[in-house]
Parts: sequence; structure tokens; C-alpha cells
Amino acid sequence: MKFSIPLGLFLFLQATAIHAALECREAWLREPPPNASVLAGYAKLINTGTSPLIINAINVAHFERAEIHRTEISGGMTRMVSVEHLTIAPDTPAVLEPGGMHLMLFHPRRTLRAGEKSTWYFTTNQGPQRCTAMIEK
Amino acid sequence: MARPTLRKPAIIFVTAFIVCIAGWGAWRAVTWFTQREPAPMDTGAMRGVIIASPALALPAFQLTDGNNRAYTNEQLKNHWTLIYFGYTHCPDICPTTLQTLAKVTAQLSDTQRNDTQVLFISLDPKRDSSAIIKDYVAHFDASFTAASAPATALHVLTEPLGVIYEFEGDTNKPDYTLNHYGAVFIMDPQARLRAYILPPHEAPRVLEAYTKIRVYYGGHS
Ligand SMILES: [Cu+2]
Repeated sequence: MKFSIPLGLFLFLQATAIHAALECREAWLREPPPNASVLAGYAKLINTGTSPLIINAINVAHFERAEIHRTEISGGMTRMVSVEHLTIAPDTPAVLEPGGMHLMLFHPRRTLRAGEKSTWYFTTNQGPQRCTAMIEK
Repeated sequence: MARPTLRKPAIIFVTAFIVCIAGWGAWRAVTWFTQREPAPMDTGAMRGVIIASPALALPAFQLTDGNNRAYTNEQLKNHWTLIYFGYTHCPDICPTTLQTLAKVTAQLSDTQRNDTQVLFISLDPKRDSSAIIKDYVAHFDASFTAASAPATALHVLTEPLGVIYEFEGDTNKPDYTLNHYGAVFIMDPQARLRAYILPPHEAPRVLEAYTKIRVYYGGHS
């Protein structure tokens, strides 16, 4: 298994840093349809601290790249817009749900099955945090 | 001797003629009664449900289905069809909608389910081959059908249905996306557009709209 230096360094920093006041509830992703090259992840992200929390980047195990997107529906049209920095206020959780905001996961490195877990590593203005998502049918 | 033999065929002829006229009239009355356009169904409190009144007949179109067979107006006939346009490299809204349609069809009665077809049409023929769309829809429900076609052939169908779509990003790179019209179209057994439902699609609302439309326009239950 290939383990890149940036990812190794990243995981090392993750393990040693002070973790951000970010809590992740009901994190899940849909079991990928055959040949899927992009998937969406969903969760409720809660800021358990007292100051605004900004998610600047995400790394996800088993995926080449991850971004935060929002599906916008207007007048019957559906489009996705990228959310570069997601700010979460202490009293307002960010809800990532089907047809709305989601974690956009690009290029799975292998086939994922329902019942497996996927770990999401967040880089925030307060430091790193991670969360575990279930792959669901 | 000659007169009765002449009159008998004449009576038969006249009777047959009257029967024919009456039959034709009755047939016309029945077809008028059954094919006349009823008053548009009242959608009441159902949000985002739009009735096509009269039903909209489609021009002759030809797509290719997941088994590499032609999919034309003929394949829409003699059953109801729920059509959703999308693309398989769509991470959120397309799988969400297909999952919703799988939930909806699972809640139909056996009779209703047997004459309901769910059709996914890919607007992205460049990446979505027959084999890919076939496997993709089967993941959501084994009974779902998928089809696609090159842009010009898709246009024959998307234009009258008002399905607008645009590619976003570099289509020569793998990760481009599509902004697309996300309605679910309800086609009647005469292959005509009868209604459409705007997104977002919650399963209970789609189920209610679809079953009511079938009852109102189809006389099925
Ligand atoms: Cu996205």
C-alpha cells in the first residue's frame, strides 16, 4: 500500500494537535452505485465551542479528494456549488443532507460496501478534527 | 314469386345498414366519452405538481437503453412511466431521487407497480455508456430502466419536456458536472406527458401525486 509523505505528515499532525470543537453526528455515505467516481457524504456538524469554527479542508480515507458542496434547487433546476470555507456558529449546526449540503468525495481508491466505515479528517481554523462515517445501503 | 325474393335481401341490406350506422355512432360516442380531455385535475395542497392539460404527445424520439436496444415512444406505451433525467457522475441529487423513486414504487399496489416503469435518462452520453447506466439504475431497483443518446437525439425529448441542462467544468477532464432540470415526469399509457413534479422530491408527495393522477386520468386504481 502506497502511503504518501503529505498524507503521513497530515495524519501525524492530526494525531498530535489540539482538536477543534467540532462534533459530527449521524455521518454516513450511500453505498456507491457500480462504477461511481463521485459520492456524497452526509452528517450533522456541531460546533461545541464558543467561537465560530471554519472548515477549510477535508481529507477522506479511501478517496482522492473531498470538497464541501451545496446542491441548489431553484425553478426546477438543480446545480452544485462549491463551499470553500464552511463556517459553523456555536449555536447553529451545519446539516449535510441529501439534496442539500454534502461532502463531495472524488474517486474512491477501492470499492466500498455497506457496513464499512470511512474516516473524515477536517482541517479547521481551530485545528484538526476527525469523524467516522458509516457506509449505508 | 319474384317480388318476395327481391324484397328479402333489400330488408337485410337496410337492416344491416342501420345496424352499421348505429354501431358507428355508438363507437364514436364511446371514444368521444373516453378520450375527451377531462377538466385539469385539482392538485390541491400538493406542492410543485403540474398537470399537462391536455396531455402532451411527444415527437418521435429514439434513445438507446441499457441493453443496447432502441428505446422509442413505443416503449412508453401501455403502462405509466416516471422519467428522471440526470447523469451517473452525479453524487447527490441523482442517487437521492432514484432512491426516492425506488421507495415510491415499493409502496404501490401490485397492480400499480406492474404497470409502472421508472426510466432514468442520462444527459451525459460521453461518460454514460449503455452498460454503465444499466448497472447504475439496477443498483437502486432491479426493475428500473435506463436510456441515453447523443445530444441531438436527446434534444428531441428534452426540448418539448423543457429539460434544460448545461455542463459545468471542462468536459475533457473527468470531473465535470451538470446543472440540470430535476423534475420527475409522469407519462401516461398513450406515451404522453400527463404531469411533472418539481424537486425536491419527498417520497410521500411523489407517491400521492402519482397515484392520484393515475386514478384521475387512467381510471386505474
Ligand atoms: Cu457535490
